[in-house]
Amino acid sequence: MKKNLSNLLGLGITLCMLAQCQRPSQGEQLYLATCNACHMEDGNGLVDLIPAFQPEGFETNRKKLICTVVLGINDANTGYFMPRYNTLNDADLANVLNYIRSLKAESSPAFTDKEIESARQDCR
Amino acid sequence: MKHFPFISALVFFIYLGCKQSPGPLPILGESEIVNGDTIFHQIPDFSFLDQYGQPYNQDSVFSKVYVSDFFFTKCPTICPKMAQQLLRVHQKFGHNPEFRILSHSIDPKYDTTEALKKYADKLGVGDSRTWHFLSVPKNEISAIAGKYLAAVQQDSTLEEGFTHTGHFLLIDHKRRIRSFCDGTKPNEVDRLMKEISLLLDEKKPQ
Repeated sequence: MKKNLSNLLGLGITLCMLAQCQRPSQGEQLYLATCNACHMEDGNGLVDLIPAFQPEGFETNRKKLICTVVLGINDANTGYFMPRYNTLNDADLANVLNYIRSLKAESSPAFTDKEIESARQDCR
Repeated sequence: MKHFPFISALVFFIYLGCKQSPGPLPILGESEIVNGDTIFHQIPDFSFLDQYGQPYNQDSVFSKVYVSDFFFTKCPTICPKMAQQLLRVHQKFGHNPEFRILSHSIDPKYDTTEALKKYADKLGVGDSRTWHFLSVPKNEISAIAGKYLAAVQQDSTLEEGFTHTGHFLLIDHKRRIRSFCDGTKPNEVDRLMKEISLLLDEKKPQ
């Protein structure tokens, strides 16, 4: 009887862990809630209206990438527009950028909230 | 074996049922009976400027089947998904001289004809003679949206300033609303594209 109970408990814990694995990460949830409408689920955007995420942005232009999310884009000359997301905190911003990294630039270094905090100071 | 005639008849009727073409699309909106004639809801005369800076009015869609929607170029919510789906519609019917797409901008302050041309260029339809991006004057937005049974309103609590539905309205060659769908959902747009084909096949007025 005792053995059966412990087996059931083990099974329950395994199932819970599996369910946890399938739950979208916080970065993915944020992406789906705030970015997906324009950048699309695969991050490829829409023709030239919303350009696809470029892996270089995650390698060499990381500060610019962070500031683009924080400040948005409003360029009447080119017609490009993106709302600013300055209400996202450093951890949220790191999570969502890391999710986009997983889509488009997996080999680039992960963003940390410290990096976001530091880059945010210079955004203007 | 004695059931053979019954089964044969059943198969025959199922075949007939499958072959039967769908009936005509309903005519939507309020209708009224005047002197014994049914008057259906119709999109009234209109005149706006398109992305080329040219007047675009009821004569431009005379005897055409068209899809109408409401959007604005800075919209960060449903508009890109709608544009993605309208690109599919344009890809399928853009070559047909009897078909048009009318995208009405509800942000006349920012969406000048130049801004609309840039938007169309970025979508890759800058030279399309089928898809027209219309700049609607502020005081005419509610009225024209209402005639398309679309909900559009200003909302100062939103950064973008507007709320609107993402519906595509399918209009026939007599400017009557014949169908609609959620323009953000690919499966609904699949259905609408079948209905566009049906309308294009309907006999046109001589």
